[in-house]
Amino acid sequence: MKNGTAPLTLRIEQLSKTYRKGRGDAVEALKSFSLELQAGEIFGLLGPNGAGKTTLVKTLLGIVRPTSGRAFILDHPVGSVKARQHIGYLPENHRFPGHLSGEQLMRIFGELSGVSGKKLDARIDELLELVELREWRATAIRKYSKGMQQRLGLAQALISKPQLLFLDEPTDGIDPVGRKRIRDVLIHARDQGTTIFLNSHLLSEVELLTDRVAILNKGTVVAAGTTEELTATPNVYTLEFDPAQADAINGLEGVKHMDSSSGTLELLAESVGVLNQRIDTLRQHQVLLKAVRPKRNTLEQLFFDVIEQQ
Amino acid sequence: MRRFSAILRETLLEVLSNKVLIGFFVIAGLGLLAMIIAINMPDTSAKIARLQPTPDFPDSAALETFVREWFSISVGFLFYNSFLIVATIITAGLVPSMMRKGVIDLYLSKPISRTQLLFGKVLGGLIIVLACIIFFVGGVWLIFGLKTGVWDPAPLASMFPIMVSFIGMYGILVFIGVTSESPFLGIIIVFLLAGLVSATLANRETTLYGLVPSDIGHTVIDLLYVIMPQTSESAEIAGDIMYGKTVTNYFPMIQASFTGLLFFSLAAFSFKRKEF
Ligand SMILES: Nc1ncnc2c1ncn2[C@@H]1O[C@H](COP(=O)(O)OP(=O)(O)OP(=O)(O)O)[C@@H](O)[C@H]1O
Ligand SMILES: [Mg+2]
Repeated sequence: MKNGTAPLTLRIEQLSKTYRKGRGDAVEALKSFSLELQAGEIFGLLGPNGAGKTTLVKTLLGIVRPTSGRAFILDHPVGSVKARQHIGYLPENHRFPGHLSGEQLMRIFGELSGVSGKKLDARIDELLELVELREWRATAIRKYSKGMQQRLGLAQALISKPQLLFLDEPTDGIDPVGRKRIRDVLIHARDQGTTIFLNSHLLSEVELLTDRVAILNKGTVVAAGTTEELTATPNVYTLEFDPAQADAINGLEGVKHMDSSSGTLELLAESVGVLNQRIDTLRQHQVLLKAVRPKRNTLEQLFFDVIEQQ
Repeated sequence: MRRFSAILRETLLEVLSNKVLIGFFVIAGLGLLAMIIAINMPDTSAKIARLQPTPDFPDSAALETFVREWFSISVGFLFYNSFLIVATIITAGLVPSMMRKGVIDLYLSKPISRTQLLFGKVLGGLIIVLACIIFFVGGVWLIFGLKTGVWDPAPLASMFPIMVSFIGMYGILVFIGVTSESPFLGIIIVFLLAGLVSATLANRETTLYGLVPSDIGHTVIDLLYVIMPQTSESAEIAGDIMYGKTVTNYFPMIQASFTGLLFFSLAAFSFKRKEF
């Protein structure tokens, strides 16, 4: 601990993982990954298939060993039993023992996570209620639909009130209503102080939830920052105007793109001064402006941009 | 400890949902029922009455021999080998099913050491197997005790060699389970070792010595005999114990315990190092 402050929830230092596929063939799944997460953050790790997202999470849980580098969960080295005391995990494509009922599973995994007795009873009730599986608690898991299994997986990951929650593609294969439910559960957990580490390739999903993201491609981080930072496009502004006046705008300097049917245009302006000069020009031509705002990329656009650059 | 008991309980629930185990209990239960009917047939009842010790002949040896003969047929002949096959099939899937993709990740993310995790699975299997043995052997013992009044501990003690020979096979099964993640490979190899290989090695003077005529060859074959499971020898021990004979050679038991321990340790070592 530095200066008596609370330890970082997650600290990753130059973590690398190379898989050997036998006979000298090696896959560098993760290259020198570093990250620090504070309590209460929601972090999203994005990347195409095979980027190394699952590899990173598995390394943090001690399921695979890093080839080099170090990582700590609340100052406990990853891979140690202590580091796993404070975490919850929803693996990608998880499978539960189908012969167990939802409640049996929660009980066994709760005890495995170190919760027991009345506390566990209460926690099971609370979580099954939260993920809307109360009526199904006594039913064998093999009879659950995919969405129900996913919600049970989430409840299971939250059983010990973990300080850090790892979710690997939690909304994969789930319909929009189900995804919303899962998002609500995650926001609820975050509000209770849980730090969330989210792996996903559903970009709009991540955009709705996360404070900070990194984009991973072929094991390397190609972009990182807050969602705001990454989606901002400096010096580009979106203007909305009356579509009937589109002709009046023709010839304006700095127009990157205009959609006259919807009445929007993208305007390049090197400074706020330049932006206002251009607005003045438009006003002189009697153009009625409805809105002026800095342009934002979607994460999806950013994602394509950085992956293509590679 | 609580974590360990959770994994143990999960394993017991898993085995109890196994159809082969349910089949075993049904068949063993029917076997016991058949035995109750058989010893209550008029002829057998009369024979038991005749063998009962009287004030004139207080010796119960004849009756004990009668009970031991029944034991040697039901437990020694019918139960012993078929149960080892059933027990292998019931327990073979435990470790591989825990190691399936998507399942193992859940277990490994819990704050429990890998050694405890594996040990919980292994112990769960052993407990179920012991329960099966107690159910059948204890059942036979109870049926005859109630009918004849002979409460002879010797046949009951035959549970011990059955359990020990199973432990030897189970060690190999768990090790193959951890390394190959396949229940079937384990079953095949254990059957081959305990059946074919062990029988061939037991009769090595007539079978293998001829193939490798050198002294060194014979020594190697002898060594193999010593380290491989000695199935039929273990069965003989069970038989001797049942009959109340003194067992002259306990080596197959020591051998099975050693094999079990060795392969459990190898399995734990390999599980600890494995990546998923
Ligand atoms: N056990 C393994 N042995 C060898 N190579 C592996 C192993 N696990 C993963 N890899 C390789 O490592 C790379 C990263 O895989 P990983 O599963 O971490 O990707 P991902 O980002 O999670 O992808 P997805 O979005 O498809 O889940 C891939 O090239 C994959 O083939
Ligand atoms: Mg993945």
